[in-house]
Amino acid sequence: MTAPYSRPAALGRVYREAVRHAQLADRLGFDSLWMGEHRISYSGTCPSLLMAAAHLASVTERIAVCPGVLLLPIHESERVARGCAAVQSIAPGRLKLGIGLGYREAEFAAAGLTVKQRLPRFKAHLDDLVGRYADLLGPTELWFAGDAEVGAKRAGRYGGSLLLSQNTPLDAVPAMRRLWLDNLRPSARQTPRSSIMREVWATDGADDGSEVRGRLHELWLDYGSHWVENPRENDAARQKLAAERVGTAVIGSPDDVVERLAPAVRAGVDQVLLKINFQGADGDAVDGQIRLLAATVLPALKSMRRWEQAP
Amino acid sequence: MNGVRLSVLPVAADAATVVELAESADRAGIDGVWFGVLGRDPAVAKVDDAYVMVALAGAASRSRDVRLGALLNLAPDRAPLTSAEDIGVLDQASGGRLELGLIPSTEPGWVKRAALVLGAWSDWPVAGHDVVVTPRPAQPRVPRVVLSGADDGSVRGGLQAGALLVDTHRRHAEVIAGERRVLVSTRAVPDGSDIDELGDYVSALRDDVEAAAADEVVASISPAAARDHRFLTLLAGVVAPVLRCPRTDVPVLLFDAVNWWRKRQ
Repeated sequence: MTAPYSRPAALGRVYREAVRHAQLADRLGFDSLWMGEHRISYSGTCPSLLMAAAHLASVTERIAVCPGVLLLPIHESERVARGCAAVQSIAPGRLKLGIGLGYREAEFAAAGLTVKQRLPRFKAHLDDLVGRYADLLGPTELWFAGDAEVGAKRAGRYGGSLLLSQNTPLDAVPAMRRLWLDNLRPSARQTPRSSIMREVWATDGADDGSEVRGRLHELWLDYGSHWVENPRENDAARQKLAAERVGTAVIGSPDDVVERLAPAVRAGVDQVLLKINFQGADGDAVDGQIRLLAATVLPALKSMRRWEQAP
Repeated sequence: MNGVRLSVLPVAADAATVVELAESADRAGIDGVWFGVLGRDPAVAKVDDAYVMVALAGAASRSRDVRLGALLNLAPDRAPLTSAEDIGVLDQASGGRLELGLIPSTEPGWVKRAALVLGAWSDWPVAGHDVVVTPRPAQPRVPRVVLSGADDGSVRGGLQAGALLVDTHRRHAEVIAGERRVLVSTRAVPDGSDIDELGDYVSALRDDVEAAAADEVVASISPAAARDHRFLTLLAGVVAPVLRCPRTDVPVLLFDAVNWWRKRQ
C-alpha cells in the first residue's frame, strides 16, 4: 500500500486497489501477501501495517497476510503484540510478521528516538514479543528481515524465519542460508523457513517492461535520497545506485523470470516474494501481473519443489 | 429527535466479532459501529487502542456505508504520531467513515497528546525535520467527541447506571471543540416478541436522547447480539425509525414496523 514518490495517487484508490489485489492473489493460489512500512512518508506509504493486514485479511479466505517489514524499534512491543492479537482474531493462523531495524532518521525522530537506539530496542522488543507477550502474539510467525550476516545469525538464534531482501544478491543466498541454518535453534513457535524477495515484472505482448523500469528507477532514487549524503549535490551517485538496483530486478518474459529465479530455488529458499506493486504501479497493470504470474511463473516454480511464492 | 442516528457498541467483543458486526450492521442499515476500551470487559484484556484500530481496519473492508467509531484513550505509552497515522490510515481505508471518541484521562499529559494527535496533519514538531504526517484522513475533519467522565471507572459506572452522556462541552473543550453529542445507552434492547415492551423501550430511549440533546444514540450490545442479524434488523428497521419520527406517529409506526420485521423473520 503505497502511493508513488513522484506522482502521488489518491490514497482512497490505493486502499481499494490493495483489497482487489489481495482478493485476486488469494483466489489465484499465491500463499502470502506482504506489505512494507514507512512512516511520515509524504507520498503516503502505509505506516500502520497491522491495520493494513487486518484490512486485507477480512476480505480474503486463505492467503497469509504479512506485515513486513515492520520497523520494530520504533513501535512499542505491547502495541505490536495487541495488534497481532487483533489480526489473529480476524484471520486465525494467517499472520506472519516480518520485522526489521529501520534506518531512516526521520522515522526514529518522529518517535522521539535516534537510529543509534535501533538495535537495543529491537532486541528488547523481540524478547518481549516471544516472552511476556507470547500469548498475545499467538501463532504469529516471526520473519527476520536483513541482508547482513549478523541478521541471519540472529534469525537463527531466535528460531525465526529468514527474509532476505532484494539487496541480497542471488549468488549470496546460499551463504546467508548456511549462516542462518548454522545458528538455527529449535522453536516451538514455528517451522523456520527462508525466503528471498525480488522485484519482478513479467512482460507480455506490448508491455516490454520499460514503464516498470522507470517506476523502479524513481523508487530507488527515493531510497537513494536516504542513503546518499547530500543527494542533490551527489545526484550522480544516486542515479548510479538507482540504475544498479533496477538492474537487479527480474524483468522479462515469464520464462526469463523463471530462469532467473531458479537459482534461488536451487539454493534452498522456501519462499520467493515477488514484489510487483512498487512505486505506484498502475492498479490495473498489477491486476494483470498477478494473473500472468499465477498462470506462468507460479506453476513453473512450484513444479521445482514444494514451497511458497508470494506476490 | 429529527435525524438522530442509531449506532451500536459491542461490549467485550473481539476483533472478529467487530468485523462481522460491521458487515451485518451495514446490511441492516445501522448508522454506526463503535468499538473501544469503553465497553471493555475485564475478560477481554487484549483490547487497547492498537487492538481497536486494527479491528476497525478489518471492519472497514467488510462494510461500505456504516460509520466506524473508534473509542481511544490515547495512553501515554503510545506516541501521538502513531495514533495520528493510524487515524489517517483508517479514515482513508474506510473511505472517510471514521469517527473518534476520545476517552480523557486526568493524567497531565493527556490534553497535550490529544492536541498533538488532532493537530498532526497541519504540523508535527520533530527537531531537525520538516515532518508531514501521512496519510491525511479522507475527511477534512474527522468527527470527534470526548467522553465525559475522567476515567475508565466512571465511564463503566455510567454504563451500569443505564446511560452515559458523551459530552463534548465539558472536559478539555478548550482543546477539542466538540460539535456533537452522543448518548451511549445500556438499556437492554427487547427481543421484539412483545410490542408493548418494545414501545416502552423506544419511549424511554427517546426520553434519554431528548434529555441529553443527543444527535446519536449508541446501543451497547453483547457479542451474541452483535452476531445476530435478526437483532440488528430490529434495531435498524424498528427502533431507528420509531426513534426519529414525531412522537404522535410512534404508535402506528411502531405497529407497522414490528409487523414488517416479524414478516421478515
